[in-house]
Amino acid sequence: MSVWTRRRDREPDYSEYVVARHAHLWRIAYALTGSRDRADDLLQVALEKLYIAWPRIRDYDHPDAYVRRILVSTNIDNSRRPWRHEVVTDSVHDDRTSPDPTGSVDIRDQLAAALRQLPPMQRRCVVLRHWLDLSVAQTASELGISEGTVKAHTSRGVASLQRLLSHTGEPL
Amino acid sequence: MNLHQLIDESLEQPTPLRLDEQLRAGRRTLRRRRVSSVLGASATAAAVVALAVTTHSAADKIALTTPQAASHGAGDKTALTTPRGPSHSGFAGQEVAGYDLNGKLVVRPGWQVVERIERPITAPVEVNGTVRRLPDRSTALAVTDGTTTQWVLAWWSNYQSNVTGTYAKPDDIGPTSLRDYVDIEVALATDGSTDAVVSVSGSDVMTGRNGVEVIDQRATPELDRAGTTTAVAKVTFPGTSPSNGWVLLVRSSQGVRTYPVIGYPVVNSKTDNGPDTVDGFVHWVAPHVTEGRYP
Repeated sequence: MSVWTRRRDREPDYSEYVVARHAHLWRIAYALTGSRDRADDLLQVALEKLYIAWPRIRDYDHPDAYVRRILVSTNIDNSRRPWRHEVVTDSVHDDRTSPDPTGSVDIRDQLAAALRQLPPMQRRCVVLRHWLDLSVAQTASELGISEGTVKAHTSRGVASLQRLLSHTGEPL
Repeated sequence: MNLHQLIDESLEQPTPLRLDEQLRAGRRTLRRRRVSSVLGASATAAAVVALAVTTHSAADKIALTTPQAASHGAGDKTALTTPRGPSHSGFAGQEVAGYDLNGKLVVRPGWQVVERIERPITAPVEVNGTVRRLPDRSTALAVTDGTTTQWVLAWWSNYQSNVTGTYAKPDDIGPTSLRDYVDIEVALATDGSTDAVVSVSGSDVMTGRNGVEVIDQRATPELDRAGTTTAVAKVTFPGTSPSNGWVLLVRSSQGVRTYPVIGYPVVNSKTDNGPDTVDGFVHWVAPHVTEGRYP
């Protein structure tokens, strides 16, 4: 009986949080993986872990930071395998692409492609530093690497993006 | 437009949230955790363990049903079936097969084992942070639901509160046999070596095996030992992009060839971040070779 009571207690505000933050968290997963399917898988695993931990972290001021850390660490673990880690799900993923709300399809697609071409650690550093606006120290802590390594990979990643996008005339 | 805005606009719109599905997945995971923790903490642990050992030894025996092998195109593979029933509720992973936290090998309902390799892991693997131990149990399986086949390498250790590991992939890309798949996965899990990734021709040119593509290579005589030649290759595994390339140290000797898989991002990816270029890798690996870390 207590199991049911505790489960019902956790679900209303867990659901409220997931509904409110799903889009943002999915975009982090997508930025880290560069693939819709992998972003879906990564976020599903992260939200399962969040469900377990929810009674402990529900009162955090920033649960996003906890989920972001799960996303990053799970993404690193997955990238240590040569092949994609296969996950069994109850239903087929929705592969429909949503319409582009900005209309800037070309630059969006080109930057997305350029991000995908970056080595995984460079991509993580660029995403955490320049999109999520984390400091060098925060990024180093999230990735479990030194601050010097963060600086090196961020610099190399941005340089690669500049090179890959040079023909577009878009300054970075 | 700055980089923040550019990245923000480059990200696609999310896949629609399926909250009910997410809640079900969370409940399943929570249930599994509770089952294992209740079993572990129970005051009647001795009785439970005795029962578990009894049921494990019975359930882990897999019944042979050879006629189904051909129907799944398994050729000379031996077809096997696994027991079904409530025991699946304790399965710790999301894969189609693996060990539960009590060390019992389970297969998801609807899936059948068509090939099995016993105890493929014979060297320590990481069981908890930096702790490495030889798993108490390990097995490799080819499992099918009649439509698709997946390869699984799973292990279980009784270290602390029990630890399991499972790697799985569909059999449609990469290695051409379960044995080659297992060789590569075991090399990665144990920081060991395998000859299933690249082969070396008489003229010391490296060629990928099992779908692996060599995208850069060079001889590294500075890393040679007596009787061996050494080279470094940057490769991509099937289904991955060149940006996810790995760098490998490849050593061959007369008569016997070994190919230590010690490339990015497996080795020290969290501390050294793993070099991702051939030159960077050679610079990184040289002192390790001098220390004799890679025979």
